[in-house]
Amino acid sequence: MVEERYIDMMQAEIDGLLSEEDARELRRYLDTHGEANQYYEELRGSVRALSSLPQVDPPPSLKSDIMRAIRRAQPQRRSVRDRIREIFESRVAFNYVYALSAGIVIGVALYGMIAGLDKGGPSSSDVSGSLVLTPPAAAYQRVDEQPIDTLGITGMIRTRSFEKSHIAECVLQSGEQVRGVIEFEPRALCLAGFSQTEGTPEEIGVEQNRIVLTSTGSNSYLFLFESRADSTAAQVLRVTLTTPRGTVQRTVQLFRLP
Amino acid sequence: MSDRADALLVQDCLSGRSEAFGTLVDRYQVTMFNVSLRIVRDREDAADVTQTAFFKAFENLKSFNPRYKFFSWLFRIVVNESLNQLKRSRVYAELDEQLLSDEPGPDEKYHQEELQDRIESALTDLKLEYRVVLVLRHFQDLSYQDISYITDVPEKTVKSRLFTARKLLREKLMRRGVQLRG
Repeated sequence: MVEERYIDMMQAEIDGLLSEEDARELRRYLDTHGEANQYYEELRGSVRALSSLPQVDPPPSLKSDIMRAIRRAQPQRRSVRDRIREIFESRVAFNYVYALSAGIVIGVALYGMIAGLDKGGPSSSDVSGSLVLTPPAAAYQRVDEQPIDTLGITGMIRTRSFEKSHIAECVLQSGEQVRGVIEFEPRALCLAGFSQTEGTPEEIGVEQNRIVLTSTGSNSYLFLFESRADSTAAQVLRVTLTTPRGTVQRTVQLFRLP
Repeated sequence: MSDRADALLVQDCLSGRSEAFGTLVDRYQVTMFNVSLRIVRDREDAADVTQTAFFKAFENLKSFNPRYKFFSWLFRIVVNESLNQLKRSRVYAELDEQLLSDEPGPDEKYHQEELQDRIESALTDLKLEYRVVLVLRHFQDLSYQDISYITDVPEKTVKSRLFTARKLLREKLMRRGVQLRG
């Protein structure tokens, strides 16, 4: 049985943290205790085994992928950031956003009623929840952010949260038409409002647990969610983007992981 | 790679010369990719994590505190992203299943690749908190202080996790028949 105290000294020795005096004591102990000496060799051998693992080369395109994502997202990001700052700079502006969101929701609802969208298309009938006064933008902590650079789509999805309020920004740029579906768990989340903050307004609608939009060119969207009280269901958004080239999916967190 | 050179490059980026960030990517992409790979154990996921981490680093350069080393800050983002990736993909159970089939038979011959597989498998079999400190300490040769900053736990905790991690690793390697002496 190797004494725990000496095992700690072996560990410290491996990390180069043992004093000379302790090192001498350890050496004496190892010289007179075969089992301890074996343990020490095995411990050192474990570290050697780890160090023997070869370094793996990353994909050759990694750097260019990183730089392209940065270049493409940068101007859009600045624009969205500026827009959000504008939105939250004053309560008047903030109220305006909610008014705009409410207008769009009502507009979609009316359009759905008139055009019979509820036969298969998006309906706003399930958009519900109280539009509480949200705190200033600075109070929101960034939670998740995922760049998109695939299938000819560039952009990003970013989430911020403050207590039970969440903002999801979605920036999309594509030469082709993109169909986006943002799904959420209705037992966990309630859509409090949404707005297209940049680009040309295109189709956007809401069903019970999903938002459906189409986007061509450069568009930015802002979605406001609230957590339902005491819900333990997943607080994530599942985003599916489809272009003629294929489909890509992302799952974005709305809460900070512990 | 001097910290001062990194700090100057960061300064360049903040002054609008975003191409300076390319130099930082050149310096650290291999290291960051390998750290992520040892945690997530999947090349594609590791590449995604590395890309996202660099992207986030660029986006948040303004919040980078020059009191810390740039690479430690980057490590911190990569480790967090890797852990998030694991949580997202929920691979724990799958990896555990994979490990069962990795157990070597007593008469199996060792080849270099098999040996590496066993070491990798022993590493993956460790709890994440132990795996992360081992990777940072023994692949990257980082100090307790750096690891403490990257993992956001006190140095004392780093030390105790590292001690436990090495003990467990020794047991798992031996169980897999990896020769540790000599």
